[in-house]
Order: sequence, then structure tokens, then C-alpha cells
Amino acid sequence: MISKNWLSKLSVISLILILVGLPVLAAGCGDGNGDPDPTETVKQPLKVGIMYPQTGAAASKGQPMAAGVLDAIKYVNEELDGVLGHEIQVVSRDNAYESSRATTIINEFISQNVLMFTTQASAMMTPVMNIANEAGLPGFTVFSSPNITQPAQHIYAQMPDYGDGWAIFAKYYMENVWQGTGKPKMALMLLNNPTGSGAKDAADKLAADLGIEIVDISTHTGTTSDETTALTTIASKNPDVIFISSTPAPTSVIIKNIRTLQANQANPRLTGITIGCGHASFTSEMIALAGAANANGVLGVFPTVSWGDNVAGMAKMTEYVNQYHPAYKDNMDYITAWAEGLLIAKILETAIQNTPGGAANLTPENVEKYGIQMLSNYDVSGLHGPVNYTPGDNRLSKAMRVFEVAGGAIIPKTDWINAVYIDYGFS
Amino acid sequence: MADLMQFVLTGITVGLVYSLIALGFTFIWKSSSVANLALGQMVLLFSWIAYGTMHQAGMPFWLGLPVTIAAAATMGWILERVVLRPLIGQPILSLITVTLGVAFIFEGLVSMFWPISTAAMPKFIPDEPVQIFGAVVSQEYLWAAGIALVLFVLVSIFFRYHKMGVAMRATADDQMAVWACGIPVTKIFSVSWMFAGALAAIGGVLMSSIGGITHGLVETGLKSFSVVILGGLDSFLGAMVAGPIIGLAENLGGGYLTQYTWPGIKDVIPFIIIIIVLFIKPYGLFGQVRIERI
Repeated sequence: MISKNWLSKLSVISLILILVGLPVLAAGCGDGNGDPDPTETVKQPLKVGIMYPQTGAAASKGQPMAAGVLDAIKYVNEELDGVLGHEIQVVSRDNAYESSRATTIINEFISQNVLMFTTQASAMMTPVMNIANEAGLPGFTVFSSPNITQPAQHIYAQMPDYGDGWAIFAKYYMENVWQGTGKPKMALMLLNNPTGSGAKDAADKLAADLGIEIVDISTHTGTTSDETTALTTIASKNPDVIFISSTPAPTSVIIKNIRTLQANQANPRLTGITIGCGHASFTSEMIALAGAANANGVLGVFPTVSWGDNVAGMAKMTEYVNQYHPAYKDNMDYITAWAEGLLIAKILETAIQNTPGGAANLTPENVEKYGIQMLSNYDVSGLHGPVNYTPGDNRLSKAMRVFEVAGGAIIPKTDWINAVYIDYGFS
Repeated sequence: MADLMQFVLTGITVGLVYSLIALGFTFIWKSSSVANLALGQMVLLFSWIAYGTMHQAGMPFWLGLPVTIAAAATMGWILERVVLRPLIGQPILSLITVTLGVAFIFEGLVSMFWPISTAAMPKFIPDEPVQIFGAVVSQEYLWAAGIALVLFVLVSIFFRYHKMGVAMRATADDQMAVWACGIPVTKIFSVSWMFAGALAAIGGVLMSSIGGITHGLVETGLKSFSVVILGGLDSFLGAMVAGPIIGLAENLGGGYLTQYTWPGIKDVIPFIIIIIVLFIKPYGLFGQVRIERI
């Protein structure tokens, strides 16, 4: 009985508090500057969908990339007054590097009427691109594989794809490393998704022309803890070079396994071999996991500048990473995603400037036609190769550099190298 | 011959690493008949705790590891006390489902406290390779394999001769009967989850010394399920034998069959073997056959 009375009293008190509090709460909602000025024109926000693998198997790349792209958009909105006065409104989602989640997210983007969308992983763009293409929703992926941009539809690649990475590395190897006679033998170690298959597509297409013999192709999972068996098989074929197209953790396992096999005094294997990496794994994280001593001498390709390089966008990006995400200072993936944010802004700006009627008439179709497809020599603050749209070629930036790990650091070996268009004949 | 030796050595050592993780699963099953679906996430979380103590807090290994194991045991105790104890007497499926929920909570904790998502475990095991019969293996694998064997011996002795171990086995067999005999079932559960936490922590530290602290540890935990299914859910010996069997199947199959089949065959072979074995021995190689008389 007593408790019943208490309950009644508590209910009445709660109700009074809510009624009294509501006006106070309502007054607190707003911009903090009192009532908005009715004469002020508020420009419509530009809605963009961004998905990233913030959790799950690729979180080690997704976390810094999520931070990078959102920081860049924060910078555009807060310091540059948005895109020509329009705020970029981000609908951001974690796809956990799972196809099922990614397809749910793309459908949500479509239902929310975003103007464009981005993903950061080829493995996540692959399952969603058909849905986006059917809906006519343009988008781009940061890391890409050839199957995404060929045949050219509504999906683009921010940077050269994994096929380009293989091609640039292979050409560099032939011109600068290979000193033997005849054809060098190459083994491919590929992640079992588009990150790996993209490199294989290019090798299938170009190896013979470049004078390289592919002697072994092995695949691995993103969670492998040992690849000694695959490497033992590869060693029996006496390769001169191993190219790994994978993510940082498996790549580090492979490199450690190679070093172990090389240390076999009774039966040394893979001695004197050149190790090359595709750009999905060639990061400081890979070096940390493999150990600097093991990673020394490993070559790799990467499509952005390095931290500390003297380019226009470095200071602002460094300021933001230090202020908001100091853990990602020196992380190359943060750079790719910061550039992703800048590119989103540039596409929207170009679309507003070229669409008849401007921002009021922005639609996904117009963003693609008057934004993406009118990009010309945009330098992305110098953070990666210039962005150009060439009809039929949906890769926006086409330049990469070759790097080498030395003393635990990633040191550039070349200037920018343009990846020529490779027609894979996909239909 | 040299290749064969390399495949065998790699298979056994990697397999024993799987066994190490599988011991934690078997421990819980043997003491409470609960299938702990959060095993992989426990391994991941406790690896991060080890990183927190040894790298972020700067503790030396000799202090960091015991602190990690103590934290893992405490976490196991809290888990049992808060999440599982209210379900005592409920259908076993409820308990198993709850462990799945715990798995998600643990992943959330990892994302919350260690957003960097990948890190290298501070180096405390030498990684200089060791030569064995013309083959070579990293010391990290040997340490993990050796510690798995030591733990196997210890937990086997514990379950066979220690009063608490015998009580755990009895509890798994029939909770009500044990309760009626005056044995505190709640205490049995608490201790078993504390032990399981400690085992997961040791396994996690050793696994992440090999390949870093990554989300892959969760998948390694899942791989250990195949080990316990093959060996028998309630058999430590089964876990210790099945691990190397799966490791050997992966490595010999991958080494010799890939050229005739497809890249990636090595990930399929263990499961083919499991299916064949389960057709013949549905309770696994060393699992206890339960016969109910009606």
C-alpha cells in the first residue's frame, strides 16, 4: 500500500517536472544565438552517403579512413563555409566490411536521396555497385579493383586500382630491379577478394607483354595466421619476386613467414627475393605488425604523398589529425580518406557551378554529369595525383609512386607514375 | 622430403595454437555444458588488455602478463555473476544465446577503448627461427605450441585429481544432482569462467605475438570451434589431438593439392575431414558418447 502511494506521488512529480521542463528544453534547442533571422537565406544542405569498414576485419584501415574523410568534411563545412555556402550533410555508416551490411546501407542511401555516395574498400563496392548503377546513383570508391570501373557505369575510383598497382610495380621491377637474363619469375599472393583479384586481372593481361612469368598464384584469407605452406610451394618454383596484394595484417604475416624461411640454414628458401606490395597493405601499420627489421627492403606502391611532404594540403590535414585523431598521425590511410573528403567537396562544387539552375537542380544524375564528369586537373591539394575524368575511364586519379621500406620508414623511390588504361574486356 | 617436413612442422605448430584456444572452450563445456560463442571475442579483448598493460601502461612482461590474466579472470567472474548466473536452471539454449550477446558486447568494448583496431604486441618472445630436421619454424609458434601442451597437462590433472575439477565435471553432468549433494554450483560456474578467461588471455597474448592484435583473432577463435567439434566437445585430449590434425590437413592439403585444385583449397580441407569424422563418430574423436536408456 505504501509503495503504491509512493508510486502515485512519483508519477505526479515526474509529470509536473516534464511539463515545467519542456519549455526550458525547447528554448535550449536552436543555434545558440536566439531565434534565427528570418531574412537570412539558409542554403540547402548537400546530402552525401559515406560508408566505411569502421569495425570488422578491415577496421585497421577503416578507422583511420573514417576519421580522415569526416575530418576533411568538417574542415570544408567549418572553415570553407561548406561548398559555395552549402553545408555537406553526411549520412555515414559502418559496413563492418560485410557485404550484407553494405547492401543494406546502399539501399538506405538511395531511400534517403543522397546526391552521391562513397565507399572505401573495393570489397564493399563490389556488392553494392549493381544496386547503385541500377538506381543511377553515382559514387566512388577510394580503393578499387578493375571490375568496379569496367565497364564504365555510374561508379568511379578515386585512385588507381589494384590492377594499376600491379602494373606500375611490375614495370618498375623490370626497369630498376631485375638484372637477370630471360624472364623473371613472379609469384602472386592474393587476398581472397577484389583486393587480390584486381592484381591478378592485371597480371593475366600484362605479364606476358612485360616479359614476366607468373609461376604461382596463391590466395589467403584476411585473418590468416600462417602462410608458410604456400610460401614453401612458391619457393619450389624459384621465383625472383613475390607480389602481395592484400591488407596490412595478412601481408605482415607473409613477410614474417618469408623471413623465417630465408633463415633456414640447412635448406634456405626465397633468398635474394624481391617482395612487392599493392597499395592496400603498404602502410606504417604493416611495418609495425611485421617488425621494421622484417619489412626493410620491401617495395610497394601507394597513390598518395607521405606525411610531411611539402604539398599544399599537408599543413591543414596535419593540424586536423593532431587535433582530433593524433593516433593516426603517420597513417597513410588517413591521407587517402582526407583526400576523399576534399574530392567529394570538389565534385559537388563543380556540379553546382555547371548544373543549369545551380544547387536547386542538383540530382544524382546532375552530380555525375556536371560534377564527376567535368572534373579536370583537380590537384586535391597535392595529396595525390591530379583528378581528371576521361570518358570511358572511370578512374579519377591515375598516378602512383613506388616506395621502399628503409629503417622502418616508407621512403619514396620514384616520382608519380601514371597508370595507363588497361582494357580488361569485362562486360 | 624437405617440403614435407616443412608442411608437417608448420601444421603441427599452427595446429597446437588452435588447440590452445580450444582448451578454453572445452573447459567451459566440461564444467557447465555451455558452448561459449564469445570465445573469439574474449581472445581479442584480453589481447587488447595485455597491450594496455604492457604497452600503454608500460608494465614489464613479468608484471603485465599476470595483471592481464587476473583482469581476464575477473572479467570471467563478472560475466558469470552478472550475465550467466540469472540463467541457471534455464534451457541451455538461453545460456548459449547469451554468450553470443556477450561476444557483441566484447567487440564493442574493444572498439570503445582501443579504436586503433590493430597493434603489434610488445615483443617478449624471441622470433628467431629454429631449425628442426631441415625445416624451420619461428619461435613464436613453438612457444605457443609448448605452452598449449603444458596447459593441457595442467588442466587434465586439475579435472582428474583436484576436488574442484571433479566437482566441475559433476556439475556439467547433472547440475541438480550436484546441488542436492551440497556442492555450490554457482561457485563452480564462477571458477570455471575465471579459468576460461585466464586461458583465453594466455591464448590471446601468444596468438597476437605471432600475427599482431587484429580482428583476425576472432576468426581464430571460431576456427577453434572446428577443433573442439572434431576432438569432442568435452575432451581436452580431443582438443590437443584435433588441433594438429586440422593444422596438418590445412598444410599438407594446401601444399600438395593446390596445384591440382584451386588456390584456397587449404581452408576447405579441414572441414571435409570434420564431416567425414562426424559421420563415423558423431561425438568427435574423443567425445563422450551419451546413451540414454528409456
